[in-house]
Amino acid sequence: MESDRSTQNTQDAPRCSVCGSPLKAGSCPRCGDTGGFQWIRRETLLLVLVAVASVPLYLFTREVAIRNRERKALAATYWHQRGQQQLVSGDTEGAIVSFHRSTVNDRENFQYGLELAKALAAGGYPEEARLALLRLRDSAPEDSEINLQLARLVASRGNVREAVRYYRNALYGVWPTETAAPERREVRKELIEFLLERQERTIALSELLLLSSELPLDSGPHIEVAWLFLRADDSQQALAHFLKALELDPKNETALAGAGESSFYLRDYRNARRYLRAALAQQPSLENASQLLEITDLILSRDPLASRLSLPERHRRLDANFTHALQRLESCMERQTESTEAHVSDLQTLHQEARELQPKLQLRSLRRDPGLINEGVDLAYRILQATHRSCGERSNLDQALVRIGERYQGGET
Amino acid sequence: MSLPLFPLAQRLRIRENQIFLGLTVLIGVIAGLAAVLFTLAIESTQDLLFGFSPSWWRLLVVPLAASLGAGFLLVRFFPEARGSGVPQTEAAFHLEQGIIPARVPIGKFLTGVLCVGSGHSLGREGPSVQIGAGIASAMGRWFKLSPSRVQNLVPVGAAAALSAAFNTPVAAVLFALEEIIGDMNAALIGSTVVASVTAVIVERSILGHDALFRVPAYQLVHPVELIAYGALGVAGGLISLLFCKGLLRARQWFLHMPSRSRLFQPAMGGLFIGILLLFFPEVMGVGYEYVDQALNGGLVWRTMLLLCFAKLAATIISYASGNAGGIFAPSLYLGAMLGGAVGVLVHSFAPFPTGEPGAYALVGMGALFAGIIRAPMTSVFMVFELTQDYQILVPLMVANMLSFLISRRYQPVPIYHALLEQDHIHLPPSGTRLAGGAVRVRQLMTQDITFVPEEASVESAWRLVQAQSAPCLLVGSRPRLVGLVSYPTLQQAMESGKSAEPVSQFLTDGWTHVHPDHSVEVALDRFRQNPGLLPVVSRRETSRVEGVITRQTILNFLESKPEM
Repeated sequence: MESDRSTQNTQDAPRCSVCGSPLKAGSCPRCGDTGGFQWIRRETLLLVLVAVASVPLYLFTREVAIRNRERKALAATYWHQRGQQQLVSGDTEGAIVSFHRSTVNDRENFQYGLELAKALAAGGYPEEARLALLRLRDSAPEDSEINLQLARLVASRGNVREAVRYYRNALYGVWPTETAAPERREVRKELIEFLLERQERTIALSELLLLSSELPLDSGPHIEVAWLFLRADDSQQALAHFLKALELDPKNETALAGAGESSFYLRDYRNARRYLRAALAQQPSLENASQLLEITDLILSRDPLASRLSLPERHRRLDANFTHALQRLESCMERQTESTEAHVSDLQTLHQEARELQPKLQLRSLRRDPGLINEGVDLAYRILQATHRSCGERSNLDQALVRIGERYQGGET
Repeated sequence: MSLPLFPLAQRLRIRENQIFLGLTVLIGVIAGLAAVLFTLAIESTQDLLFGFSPSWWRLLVVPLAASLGAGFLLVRFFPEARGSGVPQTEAAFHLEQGIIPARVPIGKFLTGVLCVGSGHSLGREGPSVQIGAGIASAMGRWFKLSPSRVQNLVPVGAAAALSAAFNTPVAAVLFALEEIIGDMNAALIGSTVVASVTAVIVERSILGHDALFRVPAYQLVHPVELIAYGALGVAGGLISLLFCKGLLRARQWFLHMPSRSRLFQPAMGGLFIGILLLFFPEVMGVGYEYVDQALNGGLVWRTMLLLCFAKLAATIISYASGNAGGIFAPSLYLGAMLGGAVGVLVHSFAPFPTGEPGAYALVGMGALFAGIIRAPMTSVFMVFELTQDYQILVPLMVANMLSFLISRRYQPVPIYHALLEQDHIHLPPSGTRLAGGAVRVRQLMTQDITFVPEEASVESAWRLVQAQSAPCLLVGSRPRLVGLVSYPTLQQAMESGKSAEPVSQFLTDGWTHVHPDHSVEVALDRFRQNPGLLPVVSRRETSRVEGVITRQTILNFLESKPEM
């Protein structure tokens, strides 16, 4: 076709065999074709030359890219370290900015992203922290640290269901092999504490049972678990773990105090007194144990329904307890303006009831009708409960009398 | 001579089509490499000039000093390299037959690196487009391709460079078609796709396969959420409008400054940026790192809102003061910050379940891009290409369309075209090119024009207008049209005794013009708005007169073309 174009009309001026333009001095002014023998045209040669020239340009660009990446990694490390220093010095806002810059320079670095999320959470930006963590979680859903941070964030917002989900993801996620067991234990403890704070006793107890099954042979973990059981109102399990701790460390004052407290809640006041005394002998400054011991002593010394007591002793105890309850009631009624109307009415009814019962609580009457002792104990209990509701503070004796009342509420004698 | 003797050699000779194809691939490689190198050079320069933790004086001084240098280069050596590069590329494609001088891509590379690397709040895509188009144009001429082929290589180079700069090959092709060529049905789609894909392969082989942004998994949680996306689209439209109006007004202000101040205008912008960087270092440069943060929920909503407005001010001043850099990246930055802030607020306070704020940031990017750049198809496909998620399309289209409509309603001329108009260059809008018949103004106009010098007196103009029985006269000269003065105005001036005053004080307001490539229908329509004379001016320089249309020329044309 192209050669046809150059030869179609021999009358015309010679034309370029390639582009058809009129030739000048034997060569084409447009495409530069000289018309001579050349089986590779200038353009072909140029294409090859440019292609070859692009190879060193490519290699150069690649080298620049590698250097650039290295520089960015250095910058990221610098900002990460600076952020950590700022966190230590309490400058959370500054740390957030620094961690931002570290992630900006190395967005693939997981640790930098996590530090940023933690700083955001610590700086009071829970939503932003949650989003940052969710992004990280997209790339590593099994990562225990991310799930744990997410759980803490969600927990701080009170979302129990989500928090439990993330805590469990963290528990069953990937941990460094050498620290997996203690880390998991700590996370489970944290979950239990959160659940107990949120009054989710049932889930907390199931987690506690799991936690108790994987404890090492060491008094410390047993004591920790025992206290958690105690908070979850499972005094029986708590006592078992305190006793296990005492097996491993018989003079451990915390375990002794815990065993005392557990026994106290199990209404085993004699053993409670034993453990509490032993604990205070080891460590006299245990305030709670000291108070519990005082209450225990009061319970044991003022229970009119205790076994192996003479009737006069029962009468003496009942009379003392009832008199104390009545005094407490009257003192509370004097401050009735502070109470609500319903409370005032309750107190007045109880006062009326107490005034009616008091003359009946004579030794002779008790001989005739031992059930009056129960009535007296029950009324004292109700009075102290009502005064506690209306007037607040409760003395050790009040608590002891309430415990005595509780003990016999279910018909125990 | 020798060819008939060597038929094999003849067959080996490649034709222009094949050269064009080969060149397309090579342009993809070279424009891609240039775009990657440009990106890396900007980052390296930024690191070099600011270090890891720049002191306050460095933040203040670096943009100022670098802009002084850039200003010198831009005024003395590379005047075409100011600003984005996209409008210049469009002008080269439509008005210069695709000819971009070889110094332009070099100048754009140097000044772009200097300006963006020194902290100016500008993008790298616009300059990359101009660099890619410039490389393509230069290669086309070097290979001695026909003028139409050279012209066709411009969008090919632009698409390749954009593809490598933004890592979205499909959006790059659409951008070349929608913005540069202005025709989505252009025959060049094949070449732009080849170059774009080649460039992105080159880019990914160097920078890795990671997407430019880590994009959150998107989910439309509740249909009511579309209302929130609609609100984001409206907010995006308003911010787009604020940006376009602010940019055009600020640029006009700089253009009206004395011409000898041109050398220092970029430095004025540099000083402003330096001060702004003291408070908001996050608005420095391209800012994609922070877009990524907004997408992935690492930024606080108040920070995002503040950054949105800080970036808006920074980009307006950086661009208007004449520095080299684009508005593509800043528009995405603004969108991400606005969307992110809206997303966090919606997520926190909406009474219905909502998606993550990152999804709003993503939709915000598309909305601002549609509102500012006015390439709605590109914006939709760009975000779609980033997410590769069909679910985002509906909210994205809702937000984009609202933003686009609001922006178009109150700023009818797209920003790139408006910027060119400020430089007295009028691009032929696609509607004009396609509308009307085959007859163009150049066939209708006459070049027999009489000018009145602007310093001439009213009396001399009055005599001239009477002598010619003309309804109107052009004031100025052929290369520099100042305005029009009408017969009634001159008559009134003469009657009120102002015959000695210069005619330039009596110019007619609100006159219009046409370009040689306008259709006759457009010319007739505009003729009615002028006092009997319609100037025909160059698209490259709107003060340059190429002809006029009078009643007589119209009559002459109608007589010679009765079929019209």
